[in-house]
Amino acid sequence: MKINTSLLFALFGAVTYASPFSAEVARLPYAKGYFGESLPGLPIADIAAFERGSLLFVKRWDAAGGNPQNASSCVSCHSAPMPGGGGMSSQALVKVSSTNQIIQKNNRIEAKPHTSGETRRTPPLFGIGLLEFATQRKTDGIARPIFGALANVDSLRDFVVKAFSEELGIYSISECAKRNKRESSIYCIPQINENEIDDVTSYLRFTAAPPRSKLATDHAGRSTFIDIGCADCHTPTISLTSNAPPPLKGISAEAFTDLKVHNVGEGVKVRTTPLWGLKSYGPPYWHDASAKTIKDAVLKHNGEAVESKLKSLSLSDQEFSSLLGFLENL
Amino acid sequence: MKYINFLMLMLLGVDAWAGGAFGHGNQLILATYWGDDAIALIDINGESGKEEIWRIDTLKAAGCPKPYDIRSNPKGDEAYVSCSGADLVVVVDIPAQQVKYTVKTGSSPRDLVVFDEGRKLIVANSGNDTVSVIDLVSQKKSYDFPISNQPYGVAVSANGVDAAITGWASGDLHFVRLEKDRARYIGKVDVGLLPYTVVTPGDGSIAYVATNASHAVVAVDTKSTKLLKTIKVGRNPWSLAASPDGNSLLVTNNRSNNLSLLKTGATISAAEPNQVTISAGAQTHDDGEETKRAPKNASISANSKIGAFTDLANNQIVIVDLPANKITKVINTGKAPYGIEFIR
Repeated sequence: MKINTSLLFALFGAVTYASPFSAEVARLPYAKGYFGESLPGLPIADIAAFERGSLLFVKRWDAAGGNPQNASSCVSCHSAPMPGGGGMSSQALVKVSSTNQIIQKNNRIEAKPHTSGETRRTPPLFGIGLLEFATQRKTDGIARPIFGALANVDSLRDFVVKAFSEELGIYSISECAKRNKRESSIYCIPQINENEIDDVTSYLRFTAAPPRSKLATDHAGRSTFIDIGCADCHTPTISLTSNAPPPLKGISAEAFTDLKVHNVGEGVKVRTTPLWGLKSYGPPYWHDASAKTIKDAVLKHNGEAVESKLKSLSLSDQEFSSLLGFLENL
Repeated sequence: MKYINFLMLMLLGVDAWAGGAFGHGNQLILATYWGDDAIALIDINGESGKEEIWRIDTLKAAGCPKPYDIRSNPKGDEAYVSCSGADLVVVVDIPAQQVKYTVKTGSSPRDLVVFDEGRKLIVANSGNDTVSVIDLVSQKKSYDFPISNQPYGVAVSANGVDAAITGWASGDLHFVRLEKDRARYIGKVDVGLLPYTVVTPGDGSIAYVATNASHAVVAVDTKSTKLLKTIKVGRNPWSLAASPDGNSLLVTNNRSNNLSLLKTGATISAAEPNQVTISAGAQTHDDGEETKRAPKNASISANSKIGAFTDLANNQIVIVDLPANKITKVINTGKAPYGIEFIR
């Protein structure tokens, strides 16, 4: 049996990391060093799955049979500031139809006519496992869909399957089984197995939230952020359910999202973007990458957020600057 | 404050810029603060806490958000900065602490290298799969050429013609010949997952690539474009710097909290290169908690005895005595220090 020395190293690292620190430190879900680390305090089996998933995330996939694809690897778009992050260039923009069909840039065999679509920039994925298990997802005890560009995918795993098939042109065994049942579809060849889908899901689920700045809690702009209503949608705290896997079970974190879909102007509906790590993901900013600065993004809020924007415009220069300073330090 | 710094430069001997930076390549460091949209000039021998000679935090206003890599010309009076949040290279007058001019590149430029005795600059544009060659004499871009997928690292051999470029997302190393008004594509070789920095030290016959997710440094014969060997290092090596004497490489292992010092040069063909692991250490905070360092980029001084690396976990630049394999100084910086180079 070939032993993966990197994995052994990671497992050893996990053991040495998990044991000496206090339970309190281990339960903080933020990266201790920099973006892209695994969650502190992960069980060894999950560390192993995280490591396997991270390799699949950065692997170059050559889609079979000319399947349409937007990119050849996850990291092609999810790269800034580290693998698992967002996209900072026009290459990382996608067009999404109203039915949440990713529109391939290089339509080939399965080209479909799309007359309209919304532009979305690639979102960062750090801490997405915390959002998966947030109690804020639940309405009447049922978790709302929050994944995907239009926030209409139920589970993180389904999101991974969808991203592989629609962005990379790589189909899983179950996805191919579905496709091959359709009469007119071209025979689908699976290129990723279900265990690998599980590993990529684990990688995303157990990626730590962005490193936390001490200023995020103490900054003077925080009260302005709350006072003018930003926190009505960008609610600071999420709490995680008791059925979340360790070490996520029952903890809280500051993600700055209510995980709900809102109209932010001109009929565009987006799930409230978590603001943690905001400054490290741009420019550009805003869901369609149309804002060059964080200030521009603040001023682009309309629709349900117009009242808060108008309040921000009435702030003194010092207060507005403080608000921006707070956002830059999340 | 700027004038105090300027006075300090005068006292330190600013006239030395006429014939090369003072300290002869072993004292002054340029660094980018990616998270602060700033760059800085640092004197590693400066008084503790006052090592930063100047900081330019107006790069964003000059259209240069997220400064990534930084290099200086051989004379040591100009710095070149890639603006990864835009599509520019900014040229900075080091003594005057001012942006002199900008040159438009492709989108999200990353690593850059000065070559042809300071007359040209090459930069990898990760955002639109191109590489730009810039003529520093005319202050204009000469041409772009395509490299896929997501070019990040770039190196030019001492002959000023042969270039190697990493494809970050495609896991390969590309070879081109740089001609006056175009680049001729030679070929490529798969090198592993997430290849980032590449260097071609000495006569340029071997390219060394840090492959981040393969946890290795890969040596490639630049003539045959064949892979020579894969050297396992620490976890997630982000970058590597070649010593000017051609005898070693300093590799930053981002996730294993250490550096690998690889012996190369004359020893490479005789046996497996010797590898020394140097701990990157940790920063102890006021509350007693420790944060282990996460090395990002590295540079080696002109005398090949001093190493320096940027630390993303604690926002620091760390100085290493290479013959002794130990840390000698820690300098606090702005947020997310990425690029680093000793001024020659």
